[in-house]
Amino acid sequence: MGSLIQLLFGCLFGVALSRSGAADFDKMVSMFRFEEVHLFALAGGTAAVAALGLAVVLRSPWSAGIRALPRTIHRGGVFGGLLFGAGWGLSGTCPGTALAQLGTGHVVALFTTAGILLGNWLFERVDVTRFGISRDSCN
Amino acid sequence: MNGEFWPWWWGALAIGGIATAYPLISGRMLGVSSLYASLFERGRPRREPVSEFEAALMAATEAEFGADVMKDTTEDARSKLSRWRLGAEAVRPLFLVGMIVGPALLGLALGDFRWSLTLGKDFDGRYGTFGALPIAVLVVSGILIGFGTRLGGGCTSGHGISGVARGQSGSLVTTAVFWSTALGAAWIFYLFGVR
Repeated sequence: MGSLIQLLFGCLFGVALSRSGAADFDKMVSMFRFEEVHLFALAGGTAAVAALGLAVVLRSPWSAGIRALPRTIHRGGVFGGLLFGAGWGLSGTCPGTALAQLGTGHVVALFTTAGILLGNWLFERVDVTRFGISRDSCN
Repeated sequence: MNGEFWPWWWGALAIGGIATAYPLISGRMLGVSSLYASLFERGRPRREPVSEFEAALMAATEAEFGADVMKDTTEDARSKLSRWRLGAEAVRPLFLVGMIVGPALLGLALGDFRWSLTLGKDFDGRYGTFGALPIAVLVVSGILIGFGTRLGGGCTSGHGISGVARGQSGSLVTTAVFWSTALGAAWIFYLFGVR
């Protein structure tokens, strides 16, 4: 049952990312160059809908057991944001849209995904705690 | 897929709705880089929402009185849901599989699935079609994305949607950093006359 739920939500999310235009490189360029408001509006609208929805869900009795840890400002967020932002600026892609691109037949996204896996693998090998950065902030 | 996309508000409802329903049903916030993290972190102890003190108390109680006393015999629907959610942790990476399979199935059903060697006209314009440069750019970008999202503890879904929607300061900061960095990169391309 848990497996079915993860698969189902993954399918829905992948479809939403690809059909909304979030996984499209050309649309992303139009956003970065301020030529189109579409993806800005999508991002803002999504945050607004999620803010409303989560405010209800996380305050409801059904919030018991939902893992919603606080995300505090930390050094890793700044350095990580710089690296991720650079990757996003170069490729117009994020971890989610790379998978949606694979799902819509864009074979080159295999290279992006391979890179993302490699980046994760490298992260496991570097002792980031030496720089005062947590290993576990993704949880 | 053809070039027609949903209007922004329909996408916002869909993605925002998923970001709301997924935690409700699975017990975890929506966040793709966390799923990648879970692939690599199997077997390693994670941050638990329960405090160390509480965990020690529970362990001591269980040691003294046995595991049975920990079970609430008047378990109500809520804690059953909570227990079921926590049990589904191990299969979370299937979400990543769904993200690929879902669009593929829909594309096949609608008849608009197409294999493609490019990410778009502008992508080819910038780097060339399916050559050494575009491939190298994607691999390097992937490394930056993979490493950066783990360092930052989230990506556009984890921080940008779930964290920002909850008003989390760390997410707001990290999102602002990666968003402005990406815009900065685009600005550099623009200055060099590259689309």
